[in-house]
Amino acid sequence: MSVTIEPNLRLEEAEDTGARPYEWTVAQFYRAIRAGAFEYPERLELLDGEIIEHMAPQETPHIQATLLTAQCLAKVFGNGTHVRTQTPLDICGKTEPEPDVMVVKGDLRDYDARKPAASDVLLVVEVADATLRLDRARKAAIYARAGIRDYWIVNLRARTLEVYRDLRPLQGDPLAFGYESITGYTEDELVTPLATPESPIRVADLLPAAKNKS
Amino acid sequence: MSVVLHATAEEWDLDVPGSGVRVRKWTVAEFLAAAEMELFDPTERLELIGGDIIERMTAQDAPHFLCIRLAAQAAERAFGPGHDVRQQGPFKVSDEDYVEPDVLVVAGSSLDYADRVPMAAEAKLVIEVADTTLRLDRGRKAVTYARGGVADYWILNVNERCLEVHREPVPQSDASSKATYRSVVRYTETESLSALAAPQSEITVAELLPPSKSDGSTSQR
Repeated sequence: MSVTIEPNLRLEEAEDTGARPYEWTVAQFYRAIRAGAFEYPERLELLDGEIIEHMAPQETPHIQATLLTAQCLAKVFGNGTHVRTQTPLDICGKTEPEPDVMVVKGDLRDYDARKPAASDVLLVVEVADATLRLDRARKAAIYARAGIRDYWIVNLRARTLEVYRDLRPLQGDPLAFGYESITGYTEDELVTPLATPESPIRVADLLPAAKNKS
Repeated sequence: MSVVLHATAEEWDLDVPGSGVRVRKWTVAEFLAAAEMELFDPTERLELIGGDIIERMTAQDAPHFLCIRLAAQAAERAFGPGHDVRQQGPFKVSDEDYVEPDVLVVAGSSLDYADRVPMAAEAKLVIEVADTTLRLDRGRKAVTYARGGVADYWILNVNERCLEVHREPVPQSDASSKATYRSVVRYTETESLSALAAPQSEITVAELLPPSKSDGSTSQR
């Protein structure tokens, strides 16, 4: 006799052996942008071969935190470096994040013909409003794998700074790294970039003023 | 100072409301336009399922192809004239779903589809032959076909030598639910059934499968 079985509603995980979500390379992604495949290419980021779309336009707090952080870091790091905002970081074949703020070795002119790579970068900062999950998990994994030694997240909602350091290899994957120490700082506290140990920064200098304060 | 924070595994998933991002979804029109722009390698076997581009990773092998041929031949016998039995051809299930089912039966002749692709309402029967893709076929493919209202969707489970028959598609009730099949019934290889749209003809599950080896074990891939 035929047997009734429960409908299997669980969708397959990415490890299904027969098929997987399509993975784009950086080169292919740019070909697609140039060919006009996307209506809003400026909202897109390529992470681990997946095209990620940022859903909402930036609001003032995010814009301000990005610019305040860029301004503060430019003063602290000084000559021989420059600060970039929301421009691509060249990592590898299937990933090209656009960190909100990056401190890069050398002058701006040194990059007239190429994008910065991880070895050029002294500090990466992401400003997180709604994107906290993305920044803590996927982005942290990507930056760790790329060898970024100093990775910060400005947590706009909690008004804290999260500092990710101490790269360590992850078990089971010789190519994967994670951050061993993840520390949170409140806005009254000081944090010091690894590359400028003499120059502590007040977390409050990276944040727009709190709304309810007069 | 110091709150030590750890990213947990569940924070990995991007498609969460309020996370500010999502994996970019494609429409069928965008997917076909990208293919026209030669953005994909022609050897890549791609389908659009729920707005996501999915790539088949395993090459087709002889037993899989044999089952497709057997299923197509059984469908031709059952449905008779006035139907086109299509193998691994394009099928536009919705504006976000463009797939290539192993066997698709539609009314009419091949010539009726000279310059267009069959759509969900025209499907009389869909059969997927599953060896490595069983989870995909039971999961996202089933949701896709249910969403399109495909009334009769069969999965030929080659490794377990049985047929999983999905009927009574139920559309999703709200944004957080998925379309599904109310009835999923397994038929063993000695059993027989009729397609909903060809009730006068019986098909035995065994005629869809390679012969089993004389010692009772199933064929090796």
